[in-house]
Amino acid sequence: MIGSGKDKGGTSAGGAQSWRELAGPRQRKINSPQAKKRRQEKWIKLAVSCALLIAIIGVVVWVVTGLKSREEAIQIAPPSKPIQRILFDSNGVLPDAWLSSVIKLRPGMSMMEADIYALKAKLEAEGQVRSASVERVFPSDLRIVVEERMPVLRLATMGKDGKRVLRIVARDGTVYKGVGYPKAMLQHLPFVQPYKNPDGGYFPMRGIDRVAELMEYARQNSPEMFGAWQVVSLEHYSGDLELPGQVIEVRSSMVPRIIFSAVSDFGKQLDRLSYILSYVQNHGDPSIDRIDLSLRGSAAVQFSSGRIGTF
Amino acid sequence: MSHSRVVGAVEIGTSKVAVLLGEIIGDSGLNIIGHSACSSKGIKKGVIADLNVASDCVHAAILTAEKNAQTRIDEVYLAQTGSHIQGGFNVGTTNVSSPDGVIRSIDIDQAKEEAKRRKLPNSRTYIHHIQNPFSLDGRQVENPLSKEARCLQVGYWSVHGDSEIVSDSLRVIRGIDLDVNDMIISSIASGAVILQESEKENGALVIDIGGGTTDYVLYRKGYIVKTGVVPVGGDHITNDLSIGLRVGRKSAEEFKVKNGRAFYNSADRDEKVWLFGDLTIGDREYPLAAITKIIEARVSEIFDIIKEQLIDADLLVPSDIASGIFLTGGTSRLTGIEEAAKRSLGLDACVAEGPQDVVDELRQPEYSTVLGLLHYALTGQEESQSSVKPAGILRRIGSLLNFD
Repeated sequence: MIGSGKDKGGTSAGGAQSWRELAGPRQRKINSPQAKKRRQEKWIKLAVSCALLIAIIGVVVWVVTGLKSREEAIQIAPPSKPIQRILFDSNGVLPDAWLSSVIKLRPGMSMMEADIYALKAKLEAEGQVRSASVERVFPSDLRIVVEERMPVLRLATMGKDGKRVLRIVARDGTVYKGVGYPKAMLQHLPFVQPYKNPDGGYFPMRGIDRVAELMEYARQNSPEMFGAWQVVSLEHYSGDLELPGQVIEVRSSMVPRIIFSAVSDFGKQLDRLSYILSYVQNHGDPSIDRIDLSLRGSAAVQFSSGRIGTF
Repeated sequence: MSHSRVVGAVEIGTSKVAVLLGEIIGDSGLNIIGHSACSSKGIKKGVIADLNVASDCVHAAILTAEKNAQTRIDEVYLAQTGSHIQGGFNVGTTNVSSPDGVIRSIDIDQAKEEAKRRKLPNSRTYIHHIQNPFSLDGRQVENPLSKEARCLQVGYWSVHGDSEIVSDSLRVIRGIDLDVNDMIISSIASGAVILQESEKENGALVIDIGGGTTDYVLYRKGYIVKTGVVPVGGDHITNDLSIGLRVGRKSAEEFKVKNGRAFYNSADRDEKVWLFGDLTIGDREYPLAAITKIIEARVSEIFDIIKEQLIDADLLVPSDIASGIFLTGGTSRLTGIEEAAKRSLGLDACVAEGPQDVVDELRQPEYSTVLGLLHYALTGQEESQSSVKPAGILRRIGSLLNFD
């Protein structure tokens, strides 16, 4: 180091009346030719530096753009073949024609062009499809497997044009158009009269799974009686089993109104219904207006004559 | 990566303008990367007489130094000299505020402020406030903190100059778009570079004899106790020779350098010297006695003025200046000058040697002031350290691109 250490105590003149207060900016600058030259050099250097910087940035951008376009041209894998076959499998009734109308694949589309995720989403947007899987089976097949919703009830609504429109209600309450179902199958499905929600609408329909349980039980154990069921009214069944008075009303050709408790065991209720019908048949077969199976411990039967009996 | 800055040490002297460029790396490393010197113009007795002419000269020296170093100066450390520079000793006194008499930092600050409070006329500006030892009830101490006393005193040797003259030198530097980071008077700058710590502790008188002025600084017990500027320098000797021998200034200067001696010797009576010594037309012989007597008169005058000032301040105590006199500046090359100083001031004297770790050219006595400026650029003057601006991103980018 040049010289010795710091002077003891310091020598600086800070504070008032220091030479540092002799403000420079207020004073007119002395413009010597050397100062002008230095200033010019400074600006030239600045300009050159800026130009250099811009040039460097330009080169970098050019190189990056060049590499990017080259990247696009690089083929990582050999070009995929066009889709030759679509292997469609369903657990339900949906036909191949329906599939074609939904996925709408361009003729000659290659395997890699097909966006399998978009196709899956498109399929699952259809009400009848619960889930779908789409996979490429190289070299040239596309396998599509769908799991369909099963129909539980029919719903008749009025279309915008005033015509009657039929819809299908699935176990999870989904209402859909219903494609590919045999007519006979649909004819055996009772119509539903949905619950009117507090907002005045009918959808979404809740608690259909419980209705489906009742229907399956009836279909299996009393097919003849079930065959007479025409309408399932959910007028007093919101789908919430926690609420009191939740009943499912069935209108059939044999008995105009059969009222089931949505909460109680359907097996017992149907057994009791069978017993009542058989008892009535054995006792002159009087005409019945209503059987209420939702009462605790007994069932009430209202005959057309106005008499009410309990069983 | 440690940040480096390029500092320019600028001395605007009467006979020459010297610029030294140093690259300060981090807080401790200094490389001297360029220098330049040119004959002064527009400067008389260390004071700028013609602003434009002086600016041309100083700017040319700065540009040359920058060109030599192939870099640009970030900030300037400027030396200040001239007879306008004066000094005064001010004492700040405070009664210790705490009931137990223990001195706290607030007492110290109060005493310091008190000492620096003296208001100067509007035409004057402070250049240095040089702190001296503290005094506790009359006892001298270096650090009074936590010591017990009733009265705390601190003395400051305050150096001030003419505002207009100082402002002119700042304008010259600002004219080339540079900021003066610090200003140090020539004697202090020279003293910092030629004295060792022990020499300062033992007491030393540094006399920097330049072209137009002679600057001195007196150290006692490590503290600067007095500075002064005598408006007489080597140029006056040249002038005297020119008039006395009836030769031109240039010849007189050559004569002084070649044959000059600072004191008269009886043996000089019989000796004659040639003016040029190369038998050219006009070359003639002069009695050496005439030359040495002329020089001795002027040199003695310089030392006698210093002696008078020290006696007036009651500071010429040989036991307090045990290290003796250290002569520097261009005129200290004059043969026998140390003997002349010894005779006048009654103290041991020597011509100071420049620092060993610089090139031979810069070790010459005329560079001691600019080297001292670089010393302050590296170490700072303590309080002035805070004025160093931190390097921002743009500044760093600028320095990477070698753009100031």
